Amino acid sequence: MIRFLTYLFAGIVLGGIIHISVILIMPNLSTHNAWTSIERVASPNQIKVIKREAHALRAALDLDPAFVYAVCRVDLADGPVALSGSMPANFWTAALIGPEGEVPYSTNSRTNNNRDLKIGIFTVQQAEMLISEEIDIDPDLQIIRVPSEKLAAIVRVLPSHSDLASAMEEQLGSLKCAQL
Amino acid sequence: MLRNAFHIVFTLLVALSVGFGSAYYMVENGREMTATTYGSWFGWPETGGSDIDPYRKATLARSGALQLGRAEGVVFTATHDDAGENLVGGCTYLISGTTPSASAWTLRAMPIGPNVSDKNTVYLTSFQINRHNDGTFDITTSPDAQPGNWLSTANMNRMEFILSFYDTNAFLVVGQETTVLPALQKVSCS
Repeated sequence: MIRFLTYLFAGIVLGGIIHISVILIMPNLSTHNAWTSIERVASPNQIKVIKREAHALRAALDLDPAFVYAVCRVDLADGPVALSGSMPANFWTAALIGPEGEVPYSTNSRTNNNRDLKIGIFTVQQAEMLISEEIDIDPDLQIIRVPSEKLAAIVRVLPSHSDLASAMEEQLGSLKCAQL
Repeated sequence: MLRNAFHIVFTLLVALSVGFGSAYYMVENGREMTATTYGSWFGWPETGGSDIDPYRKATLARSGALQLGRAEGVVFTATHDDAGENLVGGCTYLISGTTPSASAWTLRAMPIGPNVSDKNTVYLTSFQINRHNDGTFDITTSPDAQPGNWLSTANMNRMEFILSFYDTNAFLVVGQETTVLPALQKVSCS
Protein backbone atom coordinates (compact mmCIF):
# COMPACT_ATOMS: atom_id res chain seq x y z
CA MET A 1 0.00 0.00 0.00
CA ILE A 2 2.83 2.37 0.93
CA ARG A 3 4.56 1.57 -2.36
CA PHE A 4 1.35 2.30 -4.28
CA LEU A 5 0.95 5.66 -2.50
CA THR A 6 4.60 6.49 -3.21
CA TYR A 7 4.13 5.90 -6.96
CA LEU A 8 0.84 7.82 -6.88
CA PHE A 9 2.54 10.75 -5.16
CA ALA A 10 5.41 10.64 -7.69
CA GLY A 11 2.85 10.69 -10.51
CA ILE A 12 1.09 13.72 -9.03
CA VAL A 13 4.39 15.60 -8.57
CA LEU A 14 5.40 14.77 -12.15
CA GLY A 15 1.90 15.84 -13.27
CA GLY A 16 2.44 19.19 -11.56
CA ILE A 17 5.64 19.70 -13.54
CA ILE A 18 3.83 18.79 -16.79
CA HIS A 19 0.99 21.18 -15.86
CA ILE A 20 3.37 24.12 -15.35
CA SER A 21 5.29 23.28 -18.54
CA VAL A 22 2.12 23.07 -20.66
CA ILE A 23 0.79 26.40 -19.34
CA LEU A 24 4.12 28.17 -19.94
CA ILE A 25 4.83 26.63 -23.36
CA MET A 26 1.31 26.98 -24.83
CA PRO A 27 1.62 30.68 -25.87
CA ASN A 28 4.80 29.87 -27.84
CA LEU A 29 3.33 26.86 -29.62
CA SER A 30 -0.09 28.28 -30.44
CA THR A 31 -0.71 28.56 -34.17
CA HIS A 32 -3.98 30.49 -33.97
CA ASN A 33 -3.41 33.16 -31.36
CA ALA A 34 -3.97 36.89 -31.95
CA TRP A 35 -0.40 37.38 -33.15
CA THR A 36 -0.58 34.69 -35.85
CA SER A 37 -3.98 36.02 -37.02
CA ILE A 38 -2.50 39.52 -37.46
CA GLU A 39 0.67 38.12 -39.04
CA ARG A 40 -1.44 36.40 -41.70
CA VAL A 41 -3.24 39.56 -42.83
CA ALA A 42 -0.77 42.40 -42.27
CA SER A 43 2.56 43.09 -43.96
CA PRO A 44 5.47 44.47 -41.91
CA ASN A 45 5.36 48.23 -41.33
CA GLN A 46 2.18 48.81 -43.31
CA ILE A 47 -1.25 49.87 -42.10
CA LYS A 48 -3.99 47.34 -42.68
CA VAL A 49 -7.60 48.28 -41.97
CA ILE A 50 -9.64 45.38 -40.62
CA LYS A 51 -12.82 45.97 -42.60
CA ARG A 52 -16.20 45.46 -41.02
CA GLU A 53 -16.82 42.77 -43.64
CA ALA A 54 -13.84 40.71 -42.38
CA HIS A 55 -16.19 38.80 -40.07
CA ALA A 56 -13.98 35.72 -39.65
CA LEU A 57 -10.91 37.72 -38.63
CA ARG A 58 -12.89 39.99 -36.32
CA ALA A 59 -14.45 36.94 -34.66
CA ALA A 60 -11.07 35.19 -34.36
CA LEU A 61 -9.60 38.21 -32.59
CA ASP A 62 -12.81 38.67 -30.56
CA LEU A 63 -12.98 42.32 -31.63
CA ASP A 64 -15.72 44.56 -30.29
CA PRO A 65 -18.00 45.10 -33.32
CA ALA A 66 -18.77 48.67 -32.22
CA PHE A 67 -15.22 49.73 -33.18
CA VAL A 68 -13.30 50.29 -36.40
CA TYR A 69 -9.78 48.81 -36.48
CA ALA A 70 -6.42 49.14 -38.17
CA VAL A 71 -3.33 47.04 -37.46
CA CYS A 72 0.33 47.29 -38.37
CA ARG A 73 2.94 44.57 -37.95
CA VAL A 74 5.87 46.42 -36.47
CA ASP A 75 9.31 45.01 -37.30
CA LEU A 76 12.12 46.89 -35.56
CA ALA A 77 14.94 44.70 -36.93
CA ASP A 78 15.98 47.40 -39.41
CA GLY A 79 15.31 50.42 -37.22
CA PRO A 80 12.63 52.22 -35.22
CA VAL A 81 9.13 52.62 -36.61
CA ALA A 82 6.74 55.59 -36.36
CA LEU A 83 2.98 55.22 -36.19
CA SER A 84 1.41 58.54 -37.00
CA GLY A 85 -1.52 60.29 -38.56
CA SER A 86 -4.61 62.36 -38.07
CA MET A 87 -7.16 60.86 -35.70
CA PRO A 88 -10.92 61.50 -35.65
CA ALA A 89 -12.58 63.45 -32.85
CA ASN A 90 -14.21 60.24 -31.59
CA PHE A 91 -12.88 58.06 -28.77
CA TRP A 92 -9.91 56.00 -29.93
CA THR A 93 -7.21 53.78 -28.48
CA ALA A 94 -3.84 52.53 -29.72
CA ALA A 95 -1.83 49.61 -28.34
CA LEU A 96 1.26 47.55 -29.05
CA ILE A 97 0.78 43.79 -28.73
CA GLY A 98 3.59 41.27 -28.30
CA PRO A 99 3.67 37.78 -29.83
CA GLU A 100 2.46 36.22 -26.57
CA GLY A 101 -0.47 38.61 -26.19
CA GLU A 102 1.26 40.96 -23.76
CA VAL A 103 0.54 44.69 -24.20
CA PRO A 104 3.71 46.70 -23.43
CA TYR A 105 2.08 50.03 -24.39
CA SER A 106 -1.41 51.46 -24.80
CA THR A 107 -2.95 54.90 -24.94
CA ASN A 108 -6.30 56.49 -25.69
CA SER A 109 -7.66 59.76 -27.05
CA ARG A 110 -8.25 61.23 -23.58
CA THR A 111 -4.76 60.55 -22.21
CA ASN A 112 -3.37 61.72 -25.55
CA ASN A 113 -5.30 65.01 -25.11
CA ASN A 114 -7.16 64.27 -28.36
CA ARG A 115 -4.02 65.08 -30.33
CA ASP A 116 -3.09 63.21 -33.46
CA LEU A 117 -1.30 59.91 -33.14
CA LYS A 118 2.46 60.29 -33.27
CA ILE A 119 4.45 57.53 -31.58
CA GLY A 120 7.95 56.28 -32.26
CA ILE A 121 8.52 52.62 -31.45
CA PHE A 122 12.09 51.79 -30.43
CA THR A 123 13.84 48.79 -28.97
CA VAL A 124 15.74 49.56 -25.77
CA GLN A 125 19.04 49.58 -27.72
CA GLN A 126 17.64 51.88 -30.42
CA ALA A 127 16.36 54.29 -27.77
CA GLU A 128 19.78 54.34 -26.09
CA MET A 129 21.41 55.02 -29.45
CA LEU A 130 18.96 57.86 -30.04
CA ILE A 131 20.16 59.54 -26.86
CA SER A 132 23.88 58.76 -27.15
CA GLU A 133 24.15 59.80 -30.81
CA GLU A 134 21.80 62.79 -30.37
CA ILE A 135 19.81 61.89 -33.47
CA ASP A 136 17.34 64.58 -34.57
CA ILE A 137 13.73 63.44 -34.56
CA ASP A 138 10.34 65.17 -34.54
CA PRO A 139 10.06 66.70 -31.03
CA ASP A 140 6.34 65.82 -30.95
CA LEU A 141 7.13 62.15 -31.44
CA GLN A 142 6.28 60.17 -28.31
CA ILE A 143 9.10 57.66 -27.78
CA ILE A 144 7.97 54.15 -26.78
CA ARG A 145 10.62 51.65 -25.70
CA VAL A 146 9.60 48.03 -26.23
CA PRO A 147 11.29 44.78 -25.18
CA SER A 148 11.03 42.92 -28.52
CA GLU A 149 11.63 43.62 -32.21
CA LYS A 150 8.34 42.14 -33.38
CA LEU A 151 5.04 43.67 -32.30
CA ALA A 152 1.64 44.51 -33.67
CA ALA A 153 0.16 47.98 -33.34
CA ILE A 154 -3.62 48.14 -33.19
CA VAL A 155 -5.69 51.30 -33.44
CA ARG A 156 -9.39 51.27 -32.49
CA VAL A 157 -11.92 54.04 -33.11
CA LEU A 158 -15.46 54.09 -31.75
CA PRO A 159 -17.73 55.80 -34.33
CA SER A 160 -20.57 57.77 -32.78
CA HIS A 161 -22.85 56.06 -35.30
CA SER A 162 -22.35 52.86 -37.29
CA ASP A 163 -22.99 54.79 -40.54
CA LEU A 164 -19.74 56.66 -39.91
CA ALA A 165 -17.70 53.44 -39.84
CA SER A 166 -16.69 53.61 -43.52
CA ALA A 167 -15.39 57.16 -43.14
CA MET A 168 -13.44 56.09 -40.04
CA GLU A 169 -11.97 53.12 -41.91
CA GLU A 170 -10.82 55.47 -44.64
CA GLN A 171 -9.20 57.78 -42.09
CA LEU A 172 -7.46 54.88 -40.34
CA GLY A 173 -6.22 53.67 -43.72
CA SER A 174 -4.37 56.95 -44.14
CA LEU A 175 -2.29 56.40 -40.97
CA LYS A 176 1.42 55.91 -41.55
CA CYS A 177 3.31 53.00 -40.07
CA ALA A 178 6.83 53.21 -41.45
CA GLN A 179 10.48 53.17 -40.52
CA LEU A 180 11.84 56.44 -39.18
CA MET B 1 10.66 -6.83 -13.13
CA LEU B 2 7.10 -6.85 -14.46
CA ARG B 3 5.93 -5.28 -11.25
CA ASN B 4 8.42 -2.42 -11.56
CA ALA B 5 7.35 -1.80 -15.16
CA PHE B 6 3.74 -1.67 -14.01
CA HIS B 7 4.61 0.88 -11.34
CA ILE B 8 6.45 3.10 -13.84
CA VAL B 9 3.58 2.92 -16.33
CA PHE B 10 1.13 3.69 -13.52
CA THR B 11 3.20 6.71 -12.40
CA LEU B 12 3.44 8.01 -15.96
CA LEU B 13 -0.30 7.59 -16.54
CA VAL B 14 -1.04 9.51 -13.33
CA ALA B 15 1.46 12.22 -14.31
CA LEU B 16 0.06 12.64 -17.85
CA SER B 17 -3.55 12.63 -16.64
CA VAL B 18 -2.90 15.10 -13.85
CA GLY B 19 -0.58 17.32 -15.94
CA PHE B 20 -2.54 17.60 -19.17
CA GLY B 21 -5.96 17.24 -17.54
CA SER B 22 -5.42 20.05 -15.04
CA ALA B 23 -3.83 22.30 -17.70
CA TYR B 24 -6.81 21.73 -20.02
CA TYR B 25 -9.23 22.39 -17.16
CA MET B 26 -7.51 25.62 -16.19
CA VAL B 27 -7.46 26.93 -19.77
CA GLU B 28 -11.04 25.91 -20.58
CA ASN B 29 -12.88 26.25 -17.28
CA GLY B 30 -10.49 27.64 -14.74
CA ARG B 31 -11.73 31.20 -14.90
CA GLU B 32 -13.45 30.82 -11.52
CA MET B 33 -9.98 30.51 -10.01
CA THR B 34 -8.24 33.31 -11.90
CA ALA B 35 -10.93 35.85 -12.87
CA THR B 36 -12.33 38.71 -10.80
CA THR B 37 -16.11 38.54 -10.48
CA TYR B 38 -18.69 41.28 -9.96
CA GLY B 39 -22.10 39.63 -9.64
CA SER B 40 -22.62 37.60 -12.82
CA TRP B 41 -19.73 39.32 -14.60
CA PHE B 42 -16.19 37.98 -14.67
CA GLY B 43 -13.03 39.45 -16.17
CA TRP B 44 -9.32 40.01 -15.73
CA PRO B 45 -8.89 43.72 -14.90
CA GLU B 46 -5.31 43.24 -13.66
CA THR B 47 -4.07 42.06 -17.04
CA GLY B 48 -3.50 44.33 -20.01
CA GLY B 49 0.16 45.13 -19.47
CA SER B 50 3.44 43.32 -19.98
CA ASP B 51 2.92 41.12 -16.93
CA ILE B 52 0.05 38.78 -17.79
CA ASP B 53 -0.85 35.89 -15.52
CA PRO B 54 0.46 32.66 -17.19
CA TYR B 55 -3.01 31.08 -17.12
CA ARG B 56 -4.53 34.13 -18.79
CA LYS B 57 -1.73 34.08 -21.36
CA ALA B 58 -2.41 30.41 -22.10
CA THR B 59 -6.16 31.07 -22.33
CA LEU B 60 -5.56 33.92 -24.79
CA ALA B 61 -3.24 31.70 -26.84
CA ARG B 62 -5.95 29.07 -27.07
CA SER B 63 -8.86 31.42 -27.77
CA GLY B 64 -7.00 33.69 -30.21
CA ALA B 65 -8.61 36.75 -28.63
CA LEU B 66 -6.83 40.09 -28.69
CA GLN B 67 -6.43 41.53 -25.22
CA LEU B 68 -7.10 45.16 -24.38
CA GLY B 69 -4.20 47.21 -23.01
CA ARG B 70 -4.46 48.96 -19.64
CA ALA B 71 -5.17 52.36 -21.21
CA GLU B 72 -7.67 50.78 -23.57
CA GLY B 73 -10.08 49.07 -21.24
CA VAL B 74 -11.39 46.04 -19.41
CA VAL B 75 -13.73 43.32 -20.64
CA PHE B 76 -16.26 41.44 -18.52
CA THR B 77 -18.34 38.45 -19.60
CA ALA B 78 -21.52 36.93 -18.21
CA THR B 79 -22.66 33.43 -19.17
CA HIS B 80 -25.25 33.17 -16.35
CA ASP B 81 -27.87 35.51 -14.96
CA ASP B 82 -27.84 36.63 -11.32
CA ALA B 83 -29.78 33.48 -10.34
CA GLY B 84 -26.99 31.33 -11.83
CA GLU B 85 -29.00 30.09 -14.83
CA ASN B 86 -27.49 29.86 -18.32
CA LEU B 87 -28.24 32.78 -20.64
CA VAL B 88 -30.55 31.80 -23.50
CA GLY B 89 -31.44 33.98 -26.49
CA GLY B 90 -35.12 33.04 -26.30
CA CYS B 91 -35.48 34.59 -22.83
CA THR B 92 -35.93 38.24 -21.88
CA TYR B 93 -33.34 39.71 -19.49
CA LEU B 94 -33.14 43.03 -17.72
CA ILE B 95 -29.64 44.52 -17.36
CA SER B 96 -29.96 47.44 -14.99
CA GLY B 97 -28.03 49.74 -12.70
CA THR B 98 -25.00 51.89 -13.29
CA THR B 99 -21.57 51.41 -14.75
CA PRO B 100 -18.20 52.53 -13.36
CA SER B 101 -16.67 55.69 -14.77
CA ALA B 102 -15.34 55.14 -18.31
CA SER B 103 -14.96 57.14 -21.52
CA ALA B 104 -17.19 54.63 -23.29
CA TRP B 105 -18.66 51.17 -22.82
CA THR B 106 -20.29 48.61 -25.05
CA LEU B 107 -22.59 45.67 -24.37
CA ARG B 108 -22.56 42.72 -26.75
CA ALA B 109 -24.76 39.63 -26.93
CA MET B 110 -22.98 36.71 -28.61
CA PRO B 111 -24.07 33.15 -29.26
CA ILE B 112 -21.87 30.50 -27.64
CA GLY B 113 -20.65 27.72 -29.89
CA PRO B 114 -18.41 26.90 -32.83
CA ASN B 115 -18.28 29.09 -35.95
CA VAL B 116 -19.44 32.23 -34.16
CA SER B 117 -19.02 35.21 -36.46
CA ASP B 118 -19.35 38.84 -35.47
CA LYS B 119 -22.25 38.88 -37.95
CA ASN B 120 -24.23 37.10 -35.20
CA THR B 121 -23.22 39.65 -32.57
CA VAL B 122 -25.50 42.51 -31.57
CA TYR B 123 -24.38 45.44 -29.46
CA LEU B 124 -25.23 48.73 -27.80
CA THR B 125 -22.82 51.48 -26.84
CA SER B 126 -22.94 53.94 -23.95
CA PHE B 127 -23.72 56.68 -26.47
CA GLN B 128 -26.95 54.96 -27.51
CA ILE B 129 -28.39 54.38 -24.04
CA ASN B 130 -31.30 56.35 -22.59
CA ARG B 131 -30.79 56.87 -18.86
CA HIS B 132 -33.06 57.71 -15.94
CA ASN B 133 -32.64 61.07 -14.19
CA ASP B 134 -30.36 59.53 -11.56
CA GLY B 135 -27.98 58.15 -14.21
CA THR B 136 -29.11 54.53 -13.93
CA PHE B 137 -30.33 52.64 -16.98
CA ASP B 138 -32.38 49.59 -17.95
CA ILE B 139 -31.50 47.50 -20.99
CA THR B 140 -33.91 44.78 -22.07
CA THR B 141 -32.47 41.93 -24.09
CA SER B 142 -35.10 39.89 -25.83
CA PRO B 143 -35.85 38.16 -29.15
CA ASP B 144 -38.90 40.43 -29.45
CA ALA B 145 -38.85 44.22 -29.84
CA GLN B 146 -39.06 46.06 -26.50
CA PRO B 147 -39.64 49.71 -25.56
CA GLY B 148 -36.61 51.69 -24.31
CA ASN B 149 -33.08 50.33 -24.56
CA TRP B 150 -33.39 47.02 -26.40
CA LEU B 151 -30.78 44.49 -27.51
CA SER B 152 -32.17 41.85 -29.85
CA THR B 153 -31.22 38.24 -29.08
CA ALA B 154 -33.29 36.70 -31.87
CA ASN B 155 -31.85 33.51 -33.39
CA MET B 156 -29.53 32.90 -30.44
CA ASN B 157 -29.63 29.78 -28.30
CA ARG B 158 -26.96 29.65 -25.56
CA MET B 159 -25.37 33.06 -25.40
CA GLU B 160 -23.15 35.35 -23.36
CA PHE B 161 -23.08 39.07 -22.66
CA ILE B 162 -19.82 40.96 -22.98
CA LEU B 163 -19.52 44.31 -21.23
CA SER B 164 -16.41 46.29 -22.25
CA PHE B 165 -15.32 49.46 -20.45
CA TYR B 166 -12.96 51.72 -22.36
CA ASP B 167 -10.56 54.10 -20.63
CA THR B 168 -11.44 53.25 -17.05
CA ASN B 169 -9.39 52.91 -13.89
CA ALA B 170 -12.35 51.83 -11.76
CA PHE B 171 -10.91 48.33 -11.42
CA LEU B 172 -7.32 49.26 -10.67
CA VAL B 173 -7.54 51.94 -8.00
CA VAL B 174 -8.08 51.71 -4.28
CA GLY B 175 -11.77 51.20 -3.64
CA GLN B 176 -12.29 48.85 -6.59
CA GLU B 177 -13.94 46.41 -4.20
CA THR B 178 -16.91 48.81 -4.00
CA THR B 179 -17.32 48.82 -7.80
CA VAL B 180 -20.67 47.43 -8.87
CA LEU B 181 -21.56 46.21 -12.34
CA PRO B 182 -25.15 46.13 -13.66
CA ALA B 183 -27.56 43.48 -12.36
CA LEU B 184 -28.59 40.78 -14.83
CA GLN B 185 -32.03 39.36 -14.15
CA LYS B 186 -34.21 37.00 -16.16
CA VAL B 187 -37.68 38.45 -16.78
CA SER B 188 -39.36 35.66 -18.76
CA CYS B 189 -38.79 32.96 -21.33
CA SER B 190 -40.83 32.40 -24.47
